[in-house]
Amino acid sequence: MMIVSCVGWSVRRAIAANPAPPEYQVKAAFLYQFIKFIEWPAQTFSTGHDTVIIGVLGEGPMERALAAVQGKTAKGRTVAIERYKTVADLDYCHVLFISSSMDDQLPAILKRVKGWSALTVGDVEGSARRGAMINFITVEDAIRFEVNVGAAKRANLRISSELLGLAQVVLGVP
Amino acid sequence: MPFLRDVPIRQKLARIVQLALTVALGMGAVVLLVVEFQMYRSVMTKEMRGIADVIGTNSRAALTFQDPAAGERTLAALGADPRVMAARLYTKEGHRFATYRRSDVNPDLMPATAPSDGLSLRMRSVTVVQPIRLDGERIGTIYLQFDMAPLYDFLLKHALVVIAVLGLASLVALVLSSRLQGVISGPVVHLAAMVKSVTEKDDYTVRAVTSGQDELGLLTDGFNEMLARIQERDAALQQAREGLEERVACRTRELQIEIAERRRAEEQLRKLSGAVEQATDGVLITDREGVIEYVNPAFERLTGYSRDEAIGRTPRLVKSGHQTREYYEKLWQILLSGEVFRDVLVNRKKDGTLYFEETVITPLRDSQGAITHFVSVGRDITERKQAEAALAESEEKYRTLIEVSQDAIFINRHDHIVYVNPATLTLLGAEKPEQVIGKSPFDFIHPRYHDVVRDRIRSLLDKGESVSSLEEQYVRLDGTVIDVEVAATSLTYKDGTAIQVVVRDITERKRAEQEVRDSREQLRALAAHLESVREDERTQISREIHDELGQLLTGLKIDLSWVARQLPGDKGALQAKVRTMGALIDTTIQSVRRIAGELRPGLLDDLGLMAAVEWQAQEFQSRTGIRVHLTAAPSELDLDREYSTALFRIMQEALTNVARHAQATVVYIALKADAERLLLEVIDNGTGITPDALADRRAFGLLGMRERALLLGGQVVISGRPGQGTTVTLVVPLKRPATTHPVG
Repeated sequence: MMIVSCVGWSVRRAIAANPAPPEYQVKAAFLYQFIKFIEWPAQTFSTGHDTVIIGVLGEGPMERALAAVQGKTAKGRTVAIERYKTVADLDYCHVLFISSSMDDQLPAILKRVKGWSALTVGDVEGSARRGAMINFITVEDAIRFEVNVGAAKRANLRISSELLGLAQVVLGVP
Repeated sequence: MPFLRDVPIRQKLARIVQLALTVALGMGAVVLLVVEFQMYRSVMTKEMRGIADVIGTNSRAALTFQDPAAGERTLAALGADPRVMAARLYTKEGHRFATYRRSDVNPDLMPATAPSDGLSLRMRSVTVVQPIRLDGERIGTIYLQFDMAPLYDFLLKHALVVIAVLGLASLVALVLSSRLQGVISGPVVHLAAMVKSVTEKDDYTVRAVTSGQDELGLLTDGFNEMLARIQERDAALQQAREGLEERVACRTRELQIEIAERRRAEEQLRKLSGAVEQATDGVLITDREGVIEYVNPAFERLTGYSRDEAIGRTPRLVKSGHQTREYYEKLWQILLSGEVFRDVLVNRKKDGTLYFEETVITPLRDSQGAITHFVSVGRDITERKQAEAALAESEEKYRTLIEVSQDAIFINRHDHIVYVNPATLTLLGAEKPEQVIGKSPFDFIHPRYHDVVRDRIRSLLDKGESVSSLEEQYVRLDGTVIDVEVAATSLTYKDGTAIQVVVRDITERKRAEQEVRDSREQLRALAAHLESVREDERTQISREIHDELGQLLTGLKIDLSWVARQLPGDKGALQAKVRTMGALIDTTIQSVRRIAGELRPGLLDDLGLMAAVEWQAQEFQSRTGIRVHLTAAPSELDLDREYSTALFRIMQEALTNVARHAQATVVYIALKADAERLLLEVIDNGTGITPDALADRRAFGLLGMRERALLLGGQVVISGRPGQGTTVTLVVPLKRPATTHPVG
């Protein structure tokens, strides 16, 4: 109930500014909040650079929903949004959201971002099992997520135990 | 402590010790319990904050990712601590997010929305509300409620232990104090027994046994000393009683002497009192506060208040309100300083009438010199005052009158000016009274009048009357001379005789008079001049008529005679005609002579006044038929032409009037002269001139006569009596006055 009402409120505000589906508004907010519960290796952020980049791969409603997050701060850094149409367009980012339309290219994507310490987030159930670090799922009308702890550890990312306490932890492909 | 009052001292001491101990221990126990309660609660609060912090931190992800189930899982950990009654998480917006409660707690007691942060202490529980933050941002609120019941259990146990200890301590104290109190109570009990024996047997020789050097020892010593003192005092008292009887006898003798003296004083007082009672002045005695204690009969008569009415009141009884409050304050100031007060007061009688009282108030002093009474002696001087007031009023009126007078008024006292009014200053040209006052009036009177004025002053002072006004001349301060009219009256001035002088400036009047006189003189001169011119013209015309016409007519007559001689005798009608013509010429010659004579009698110039008068009388008689009697005293007078002309014309006018108005039959003309004067009288026996005719301004004939006479310095008097004729009298001086200056 609580979540529904929260979402409903978010929808109204989103329609006024930028009409994205309520589901994606919540997901966009989660993407932003993940930043606070993830620890990147120290070298990931260049000195004096105070931006944290959320990249969006492929087309979909998330691109519009993230507009609400752009310019906010997390961990003392300003959130910036980058958009990539194809895998070839991918560039360095801290969080990478993989639209459902791009899910079939997941292995190529993971290969491309390897070594960047980017938190990969999928939008298709089961993508965590297939190598993405987090993917969104829907449980009883609420948006939840699965976490692939191994994938994160391989990318030198540390996921806070608080976050893990909420997530369904899966073991993915090695 | 009434419950201890009648208890024996032994028990008293024991109970006091026991009570003090119990109270002290009880208070200590209470303080201990309170401190323990505070400490416990403070520790618990700190612990609660710690728990709230841990739970809040562990709930951050659940709040962030909107997972209430996760939140409830976290809160469930609190079940390990039985003191936690309830806990709840709230979202950032304050909505309920997740809840925990102990099974026996009613969930409705928790707030539905996030309460404000802070700590709240209640009897049964303590509540903590704290924010939950993530990355510096508030994401929610945690609410924790702790149970206080374990604390109360703990405190109850402590209290029971304390009460048990208290009871035991009190018992021990009672036992110990019963044993130890004998140290103090022993000597006291001994002293009490001693006192009782002294009181019962009245024996002051016994002494108590001293127990030591402490306060009780001192008390015993003091008691013994007191007994010794009482013994001494008893003996002294006996001695004093014997001396007292002797002093009483001595005092009785003194009193007898005093009584005799007082009798004499009373006798004297009675005499004085009688004098005051008989006095004619009102006497009033007040005490120091001004309350009347005595009034004499004269006071009763004076004010109308009886003695009974006055006594007990204050002198305000007769207050009229005519004296100010300040006046009375001053009066009291004088009296209280011990001085005698004298003044005239306006007071009011009982019937309301006001009166002036000459009052003398004297303070009376007792033998120590302190003022005890005031004596007021008053006399009614109203009549005197009224007379004074009336006098002052009339003086004031007089002064006002004088001050505004247009006439100069000054007062001369012994030839000194002592007062001047403003008009005097104006008259004399002074600016300030000082320029005039103190000087002699003779400084301002023209020296020509000094003698006259001295005479007037003398007669004024001798007879004491006023003198009629006199025209004099004054000399002003700037030296100019002015004409004045002066009247003077003698009066009393400052207890002496003085003269009030009223001076009126008549310079203007004088000048006007002079102007009238001058203009009249000029007119007269003009008239004379005209008359003389007319007379000259007449003379000339008369001569011309007489000489020219006369010669022509004479020539004509000679010629006619010659014609008549030449006429033949047969021409009788012609001859008759010539004779008629001759007669006509003769008549014409006569007429010419008469006219010429009337214009100017040639006789007057040729033969003088007398001849002219005679001729005129004859001519008048023959013309009018009125008989004329002429009396001329001097046969000849040597008068100049002007004189003789005037006289002749006046006579001629008088005769004309007789012929016109008098209806007379006889006229007497008299002409007399001596060395100085010449008199002409024309008297008729006609109807007599009336006073109206005499006063008629249009009667130029009469006016002409008068004017002519005035020119000569003479006078014409015309008088008439009805039926008895008219008399015209002319008197002229033969020496003409010098003041007459003909114009031209």
